[in-house]
Amino acid sequence: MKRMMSLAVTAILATIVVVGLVQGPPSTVPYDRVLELAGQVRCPQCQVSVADSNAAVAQTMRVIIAEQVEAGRSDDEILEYFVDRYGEWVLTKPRRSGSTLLLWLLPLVGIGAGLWAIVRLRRVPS
Amino acid sequence: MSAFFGFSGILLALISSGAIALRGFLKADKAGLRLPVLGLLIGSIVAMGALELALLTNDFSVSYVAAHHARSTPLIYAIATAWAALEGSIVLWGLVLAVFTFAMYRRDRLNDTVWRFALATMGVISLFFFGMMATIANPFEVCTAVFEGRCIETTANVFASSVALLDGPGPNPLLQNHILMAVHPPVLYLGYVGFAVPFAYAIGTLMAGGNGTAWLERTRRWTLAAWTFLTLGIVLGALWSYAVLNWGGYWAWDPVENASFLPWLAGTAFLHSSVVERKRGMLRTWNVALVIATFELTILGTFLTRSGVVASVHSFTQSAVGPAILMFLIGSSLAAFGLFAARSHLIVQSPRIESLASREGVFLLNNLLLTVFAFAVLAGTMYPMLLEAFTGDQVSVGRPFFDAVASPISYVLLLAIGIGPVTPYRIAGAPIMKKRLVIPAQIALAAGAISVLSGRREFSVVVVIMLATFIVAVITKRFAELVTARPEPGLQAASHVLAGDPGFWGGQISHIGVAVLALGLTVSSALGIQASGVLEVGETITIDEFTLTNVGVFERTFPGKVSQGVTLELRRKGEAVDLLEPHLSRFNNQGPVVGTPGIHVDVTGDVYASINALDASDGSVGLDVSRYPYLFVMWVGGFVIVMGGTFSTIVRRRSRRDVAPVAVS
Repeated sequence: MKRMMSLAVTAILATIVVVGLVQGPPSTVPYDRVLELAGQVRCPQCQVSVADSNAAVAQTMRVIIAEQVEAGRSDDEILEYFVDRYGEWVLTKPRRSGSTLLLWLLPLVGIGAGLWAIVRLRRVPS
Repeated sequence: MSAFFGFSGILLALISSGAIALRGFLKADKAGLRLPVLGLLIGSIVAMGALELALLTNDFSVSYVAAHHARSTPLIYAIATAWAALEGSIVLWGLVLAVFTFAMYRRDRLNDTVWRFALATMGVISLFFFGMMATIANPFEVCTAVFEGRCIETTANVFASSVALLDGPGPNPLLQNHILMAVHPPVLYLGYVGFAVPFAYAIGTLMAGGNGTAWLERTRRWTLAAWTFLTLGIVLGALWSYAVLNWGGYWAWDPVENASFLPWLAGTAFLHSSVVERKRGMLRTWNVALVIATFELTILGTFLTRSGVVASVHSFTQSAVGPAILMFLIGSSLAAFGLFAARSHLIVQSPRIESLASREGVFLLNNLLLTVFAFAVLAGTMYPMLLEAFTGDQVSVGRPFFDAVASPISYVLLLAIGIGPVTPYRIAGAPIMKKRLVIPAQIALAAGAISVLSGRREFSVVVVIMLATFIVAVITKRFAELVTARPEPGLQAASHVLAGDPGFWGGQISHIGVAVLALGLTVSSALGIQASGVLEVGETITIDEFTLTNVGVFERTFPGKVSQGVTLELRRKGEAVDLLEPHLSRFNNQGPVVGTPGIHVDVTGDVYASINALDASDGSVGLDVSRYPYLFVMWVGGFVIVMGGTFSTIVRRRSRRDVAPVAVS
């Protein structure tokens, strides 16, 4: 009986959480496309993105992003606009292709190698 | 005068380092090493003391003082200037290394071959750092010619006739803007250099052909202390970034931050895997490899921050120091890993792991995740440099990449933190795991359900709320069971449980800190909001339930500094709660303008206001305003992690006789 209760409680709570997550966040925090894009464009004068910098040029670039969002351009178009002017270098999120594909694969390779080592550690007798 | 004393100190320390290395590697007993160890300590203290003396007596004939000091610099920043620029920071590094070497000499009870070789290893490291101070990073050069208020010619000859500036430019404006600047570097260095000690004992063990676990036992508290200082150094650095750098954040994943995070990740992995070796005799070769990697990552960190490879507030100048540290990094890695490869067959094969469903299994998962995390951060940090070096292509790797790696790894790590500490060694049976985990899991689900029902349905927020609650619940439940199982009254029983296994419970305090930090970090970033605008006098900007009103601009003059700013009246739901004064400062009428944010700190969240433009003539200001809910919680978490480390380092295990173990079914 106690076990059944426990199971039921777990199931109800889990259902609430899952349903809530599937429903997604309410609109109290607006998804800020400008800020999201600003985080993916690097400030030409500093180490960080234009979202994380308050250098004059970063402010200007944020305004450009805001204007383009306003004008209804897509994310890719806006990023491409900056790549055309500054090169690949301007993207803080390297593309998952070309010379930066390897970078995205490295963590996966690391996980794979680690799991292989652990499995091997388990099999090899001392 | 101070140049003479300072350079003599460096030379004394340099010669002593060489003597420690030689005598340690050849044959010497404790008495034979005494003189050089003392020489290293005294030399490095004299060097640091002379640098402070030169700064405090405004001795502008010393090159370092002429380049980085001003008469108007306030006392506390004058003292901190000794490590606020390249050469001085290396002097501080050398001093910390010397103090640790001395402590290794004094505190080790065995004084065996391993210890001798370990001291010799410390000697080699200090030989390199004092060698740099004596040549390419000499802070005690004498100024022989001045031009337009700058020292343009210097010589290492301390007897040369010197010319002194009347006044200097003062330290980097960013570095004389907040008190944390005086504390963050020494604390970080205590952590960085601290990892040299377990590294040195590992090298000593390999050289002596030993294979025991003794080196881990002997360096346990060293490692804990180093880890604790490194953690505190990173937290203070983030706090400084938040309070000073005026960009509205605390962690940007810039190479310099990564430089401190990399050894932390590797060191944390080492801290955990060394437990497995000490308790179960496993992972012996892995631990040696891991401590070598941790040490080399501290050197890599020094290279990244001190070389000018990355332009940031930390990389002071382009100089020969960068290439020198790079050579040391390569040389020491080759030597250490070479020795490891040559001697690892001497390390006794570890006993086989019985089941992956065991404490050992969770430790392996922890090590896998932490090392992959470190590997990914390392890859992200070095990729642009390496790609450019080999192909000429220029790319950037920024926050989106690091966040994409960090989030999933952190979720699994948090889950492992919850499960690991209550998982039995050898084989964890299902009944005992159920007994220990089901109720905490239900509490975690309940917390998630409350979050969802109250409208917080952001994925990261809900997941971290559940994971953090789970961690705290598991640890609290286990602690409560052990306390109630003891015959003594409550408080006494609690202290007996804690003192019975300070290593374990210090770790659990840190785990709770990690949970709290994760909660504050996730909530503040996922629910943080930004606003910006230009405010005329009397105008108001609204963010969340707060309003900020421009009540007028001000200009204030301090010794060596002029600040212009705006007074903002902060109201919460119409009620006045605070006055914020973000401002822009100019130091000694030169260098860039440095912005300082106005921050309202509250347990429920901060309001952060920074100026991006200011017109003193009509009193209008351009403002960036952020609201970070529960950011305060993140800092609390950071300091709780440090408390846990401190607890494990300081509290000694009470003997079995004092605290009889009580079986808990």
